[in-house]
Amino acid sequence: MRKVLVVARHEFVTTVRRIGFLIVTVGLPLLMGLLMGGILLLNVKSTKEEYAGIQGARLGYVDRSGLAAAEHPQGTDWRWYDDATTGRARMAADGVVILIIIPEDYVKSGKIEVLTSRRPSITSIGETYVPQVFVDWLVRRVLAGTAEERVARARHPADSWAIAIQFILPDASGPQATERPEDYYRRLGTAAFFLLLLFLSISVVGGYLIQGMADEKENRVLEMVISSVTPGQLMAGKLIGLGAAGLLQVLIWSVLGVSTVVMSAVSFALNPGLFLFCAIFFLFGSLLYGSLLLGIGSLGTNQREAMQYTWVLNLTMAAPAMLWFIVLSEPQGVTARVLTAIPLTAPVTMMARYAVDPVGTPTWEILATMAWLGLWTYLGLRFSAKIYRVGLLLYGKRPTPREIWRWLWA
Amino acid sequence: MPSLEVDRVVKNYGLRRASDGVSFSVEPGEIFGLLGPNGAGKTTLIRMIMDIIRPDEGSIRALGVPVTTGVKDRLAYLPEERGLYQKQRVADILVFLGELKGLPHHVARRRADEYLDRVGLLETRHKKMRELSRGMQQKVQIAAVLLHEPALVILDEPFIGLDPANRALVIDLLKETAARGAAVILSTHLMDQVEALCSRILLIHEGREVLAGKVRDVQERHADSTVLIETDAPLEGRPEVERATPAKNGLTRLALRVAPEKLLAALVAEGRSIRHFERALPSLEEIFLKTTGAAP
Repeated sequence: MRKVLVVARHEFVTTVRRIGFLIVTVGLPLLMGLLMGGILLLNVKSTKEEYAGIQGARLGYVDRSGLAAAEHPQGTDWRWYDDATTGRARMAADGVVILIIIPEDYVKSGKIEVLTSRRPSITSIGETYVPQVFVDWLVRRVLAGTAEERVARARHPADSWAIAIQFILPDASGPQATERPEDYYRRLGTAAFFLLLLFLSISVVGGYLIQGMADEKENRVLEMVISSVTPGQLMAGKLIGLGAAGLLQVLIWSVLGVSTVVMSAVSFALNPGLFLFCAIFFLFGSLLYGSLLLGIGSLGTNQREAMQYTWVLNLTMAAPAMLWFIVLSEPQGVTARVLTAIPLTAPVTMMARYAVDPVGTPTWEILATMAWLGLWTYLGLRFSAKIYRVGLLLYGKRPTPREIWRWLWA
Repeated sequence: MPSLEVDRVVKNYGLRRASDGVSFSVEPGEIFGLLGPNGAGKTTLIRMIMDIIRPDEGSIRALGVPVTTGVKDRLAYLPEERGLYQKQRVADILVFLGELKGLPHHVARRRADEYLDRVGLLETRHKKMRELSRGMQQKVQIAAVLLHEPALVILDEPFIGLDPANRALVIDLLKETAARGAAVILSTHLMDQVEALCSRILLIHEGREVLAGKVRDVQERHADSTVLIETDAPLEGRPEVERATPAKNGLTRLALRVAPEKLLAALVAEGRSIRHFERALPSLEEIFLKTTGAAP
């Protein structure tokens, strides 16, 4: 165990000391922040200007439907014309920017024609060109003769902010057992946070792991190291050391992107049980992926080659995220159970299942999945060590699938 | 108790037999030469001793226990294909390798400085490996191998890339290591170094032992009727002499048709002055060439 820790510390220190690590860890979020901030700022600014341009534009309208009757809007500088031809001819002279034509069958069809000299900018594509004040006036005209209070309600019959939803909990332990959607979303948020963390840390650590092993091969330092430790100790040490470095990086990113920290703190405060549950499965997941990455790293004769193999792993990583919608809608369904039984998809699936349905997820299945993942991590490490023991001595030679198979069972 | 006992070790790579029942042992304090032409199976043998690969048959015991039981901390190995982390600092690498051999951190740190000083590279300890010349890197590697003061040291071609002065330094280090009781196994193609350093040798060829024993005994066994002589007698044309060629230090090398004693007796009977008379032993290089048919 001491040697595992010596290797782990060495891997951690050398990784963290790399200039590349610092640049990526600190530079990447800063750059992303600047870029995103810049885009957002420009976007908001031009959208606002565009909106103000449309809302504040002088309007003209032609009413063929008879809605307006003789009652043209009071207190506005809108112009109204008898027909579209006149309106169009006098638009420029009257300073009208938007000319709205209400057709005869408007009440039935709801269709409106707009003539305007304004062109949309990239941020205002899809704007209607019908200002809100005009829409409000239309509603009042359509409902002419109705009480003002009812008109207001008709404009907002059931807005999302006004709806109070209660989810009935699946355990059905009486009519009181309900929860607010926010609680549910927060649980999902916790699971999603750990999914993201797992994805990020595996991508990051995987990169370092493969690079480190390729460096050792290229520097020909392997045989000296392996004459001091067993491949198993070396593998375990690398896994712990690089895992810690990757976690550190993800944590720094989280600190720089403050929202994730706040979110993780909030989700912990709200539901420490779920937080710990996800953290445990996060740990199992990263160890399992790490052990497999080590095996792949041992196979490749150089970094580029090893990177190619890791693509396969990244795909299996993304798969459960894509299947989440099934797991979320049926946390105890067949798909969810099958994904739990497959070691590579188990961590992410289990997080989602427990988040959606903490009561319905059987305890025995949770414990069995943990043991199952532990077993596969152990096997992954052992297989990696075996491949490493033989693979490392093959400078520049690519092993055939048959050779790999033989080594695994040798 | 021998420091190393290799007992009828067999290793197959597919159909090829890289090691075919080799046995030998090395005693504490001894410098032992493991020789053989390229592809003879030396590296396979060494890797089995270091438990990097496992033999198909036979057993290997180091310091009295099987090598599979974690005796690695007291062993040291300088592989032929070697290098150290190029982007890391010299001292850090040595401390890491020392700790891997079980030294506590502070001891590893002290030994790293001691051994760097010993190979004349103390001032490079904060430099990165890649800033060092090839010869300097070689010396750091030697320091890395010796710093945990192992009881059994295996060095595969330790003199590659070293100038004569540094070669002498490494030889001194090896002699010191042996003098403090460690067994040293040296695998090299430099036969003059083997003759100068090793007490015993094992020559393997195609995975099999072809020669073994004390250097002197091996030479004696391969000695023919050749003598080195310094005398006032004319030697050309004598019936006992097949060929006479000049040798070093004013001596003459004689290939004889008879046993050397006969010539000596004849010269004494003739009342000739004989200042030097010695059986000429063949060099290890000659024996190597003769036994394996290949250059060392």
